[in-house]
Amino acid sequence: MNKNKKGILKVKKLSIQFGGLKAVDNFNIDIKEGELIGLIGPNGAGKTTLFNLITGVYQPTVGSITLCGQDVTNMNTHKRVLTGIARTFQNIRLFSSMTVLENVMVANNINMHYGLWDTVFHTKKYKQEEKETREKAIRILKIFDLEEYKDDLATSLAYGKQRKLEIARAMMTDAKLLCLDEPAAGMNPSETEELMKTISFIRKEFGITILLIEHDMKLVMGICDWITVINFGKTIACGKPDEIRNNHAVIVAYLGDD
Amino acid sequence: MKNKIKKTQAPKKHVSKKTQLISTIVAIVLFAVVSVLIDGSSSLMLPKVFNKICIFSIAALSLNLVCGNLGELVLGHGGFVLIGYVVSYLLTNYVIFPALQDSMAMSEIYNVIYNVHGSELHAAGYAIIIGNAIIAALITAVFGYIVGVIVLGRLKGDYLAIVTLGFGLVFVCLVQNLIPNGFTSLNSSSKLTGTPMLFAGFLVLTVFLLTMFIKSRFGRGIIAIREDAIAAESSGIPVNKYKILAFTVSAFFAGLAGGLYCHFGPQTAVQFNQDLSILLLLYIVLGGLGSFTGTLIATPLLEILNSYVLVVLPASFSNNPKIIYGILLICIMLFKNKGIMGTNEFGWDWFYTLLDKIKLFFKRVFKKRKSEVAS
Amino acid sequence: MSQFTTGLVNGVSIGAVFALIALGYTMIYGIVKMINFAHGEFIVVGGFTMYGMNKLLVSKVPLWANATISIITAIVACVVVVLITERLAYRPLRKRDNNRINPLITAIGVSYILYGIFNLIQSSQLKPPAFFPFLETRVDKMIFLLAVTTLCLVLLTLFYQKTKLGIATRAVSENADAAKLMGINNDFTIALTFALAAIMAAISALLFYTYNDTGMKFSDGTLLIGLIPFAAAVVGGIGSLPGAVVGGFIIGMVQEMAAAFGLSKWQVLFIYGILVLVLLLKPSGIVGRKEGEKV
Repeated sequence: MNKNKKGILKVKKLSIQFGGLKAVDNFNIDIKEGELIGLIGPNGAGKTTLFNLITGVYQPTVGSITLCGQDVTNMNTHKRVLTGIARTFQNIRLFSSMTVLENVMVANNINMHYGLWDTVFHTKKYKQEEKETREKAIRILKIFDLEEYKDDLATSLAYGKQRKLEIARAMMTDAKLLCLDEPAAGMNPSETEELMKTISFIRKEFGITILLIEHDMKLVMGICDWITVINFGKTIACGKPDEIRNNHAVIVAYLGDD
Repeated sequence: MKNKIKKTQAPKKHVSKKTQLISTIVAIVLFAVVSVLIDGSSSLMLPKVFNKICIFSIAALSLNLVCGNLGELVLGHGGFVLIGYVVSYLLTNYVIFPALQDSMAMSEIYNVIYNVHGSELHAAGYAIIIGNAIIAALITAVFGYIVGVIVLGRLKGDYLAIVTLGFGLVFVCLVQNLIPNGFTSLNSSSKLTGTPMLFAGFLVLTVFLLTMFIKSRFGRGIIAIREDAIAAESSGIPVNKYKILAFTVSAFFAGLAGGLYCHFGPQTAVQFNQDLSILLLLYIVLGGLGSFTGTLIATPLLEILNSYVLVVLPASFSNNPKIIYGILLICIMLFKNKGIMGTNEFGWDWFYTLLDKIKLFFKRVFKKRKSEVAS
Repeated sequence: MSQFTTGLVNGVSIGAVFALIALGYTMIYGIVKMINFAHGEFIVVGGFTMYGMNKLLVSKVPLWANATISIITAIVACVVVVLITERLAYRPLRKRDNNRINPLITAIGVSYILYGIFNLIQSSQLKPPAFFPFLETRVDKMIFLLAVTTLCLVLLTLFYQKTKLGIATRAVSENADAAKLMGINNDFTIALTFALAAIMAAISALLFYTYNDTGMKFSDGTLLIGLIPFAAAVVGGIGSLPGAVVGGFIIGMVQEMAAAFGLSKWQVLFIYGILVLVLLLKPSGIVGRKEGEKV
């Protein structure tokens, strides 16, 4: 891990307790700019809970989260987006009654500043910001090869393309850290292949840091710089893909003890 | 379960911006002409029904913003309309007329407001009504903001609906008990009646403002919240702020409607209990939750039903519109639950596409006739 | 009697009635998450049936027979009306849509239709049947009402805890899909719950018109009974049986205390004010439990 790179996400001693269950227990991670990190573990290990903690859907019982140098532990989701984090969801969450273009335009709201007065009187500021948002949205759709669908309803797209749209929407926020929750879920091998290319591409193109939850080992081992493995809310291993592949504790966690 | 395939494309015909502008202007001019004609008509009922349609349309549109576009069910909206009404009533009877009466006799006041025959409103009269309505709207917006701040961060869905129901009933109780003589005095004759052109003007203004609001980044955010609040927040939408915004804007226009309602006719039989809230809900559900056009179609339809059709039915039905409303509600729910327009808006694209379809239909009919005649 | 005692006795009495009505609301909300706006009208169905049956039998059979037959007929009538409504109006929507507004609007529609029908049949006021002439004082009535409500609560609780059907109902309330996979027939369970609520409605009518024996009117469902017991159910914790009862007594007490001290015109403020406060401070109600949302 290159110590000269900027720190993007620092999580220290993060825990959350639901009643008697510790869903995440003393989690630590230090992600630097531009890295692509995998987060894996058996079902129920606490991966999505961790995402929810990082993005502000849940509040931790103990611990701290620092994003781009700012302490976001007590911030709500919207403020964290302003600080530079974006995410996608395990079950694709698009805005179903909106078109592809509108879905993406919504996410630029944090970069828009016109008010009610501008809206009512269609001032220069209004026209300019709307124009810029629309153009930026089309640019991003082009990058994701979705421009031709821009006026179609978001949910009319094929599953693989819907996932790309969700990622495109997240990119609109100019995020510095992108959290992808099982992006390959429900995809066939060719869609997964395309997804891997897309993720590698945006990493290069936008210089963005990515934290990725996945079950598809081919994808994780294929593109991640390093991987953290958790089980029962605790970290059980952390290292390069090759190290993880042969790690005894990881194998036990997935396949059980023989 | 049958799943209809959703439309993937927008309507087939895209008309140019110029055509859209011209169409809108023509529509407004037509509407203005209609309102002037109605004003001049000799019928006593027609202007009243027209005025009521305009006012209720404004109220229904304001409810549609919260229930249809934001997606939160509100059961006490009549309360906001009531606030607007009360503000306008208090201003008229406790501020404006007393102030005028200090310097002029009652008859002189009427001369300033109306012309000789008392049938036409002068500028002063217009000014009073417009002023009342705007102040009513602003004050109601403040109430909406306060209720929104208290409630929206904490509750949603059914609980929110129940709380708004509670607020609506509490407002009615307060008005009944705090205003001298409660609803009896609110119902007594209004000193000032507006013209159809005035109400039509406010309706057009409301439609414009709401449409611009929905097309702005605020509207997009609000609709995103309806679709998926968590995804919206993760995309940078300040969900709580925008919910409060929607509530406040909705309360503004509800108050506007209420403020105008105070001046809608010499005798107003005001029903501000639960019935108004449910009635407005019926209007927007019939038209299609989330569709302004739908509301603008459904409200006149139902008001005309109310005023003209019901009265010709036997007395047992006309005294009892509830049974008709009930049957209507159930039918809509069972058969066309998305309402007349669904969530679609009536852009000019749709209109011209529809015209094309009609033209095509007639062409086919005439072709058939022609071939029949020839053979 | 002092104002306080009057308020107390009346409060407990109407509280018992509200508790029973609230049970009807809460049972339905618990299983299909719907506010059954029409419940008040279903109660009036029971009331009118009892009146009609009573009128038919009053001089022909002894009082105890009259009472028993009338009450049973009322129960049957309520169950029939409710089951038909469930089958024709509520169930199709449950199957087809998954938003919350539609069933609510349907319930409002049903209540409007029933209201209209009652208005058509009998628009003037009727005198409720007097089945229990041995209840002479207000206190007698209070004890009777308390007893009936307690009995119903005990029977319902036993049903939900001990019987197979009751447990199945709770399963459907918690997780309908899982229940289906366990072999539970959701439609039947839901219909059964509605039937139980209908029985509660009929008994509520009996209790209500025993307490309020001055008059019975077509508009009672909406104007007199209406949503106040529903507010009580929410205050106690919607979906919870003990919650409905706790809420019923609290709201009943508030209503009658206000009346006893001459503050009747502020009743709505007090009742719904408490509702709003409870919802803001503890939305799950006094007795209820919290539910989270999965992301």
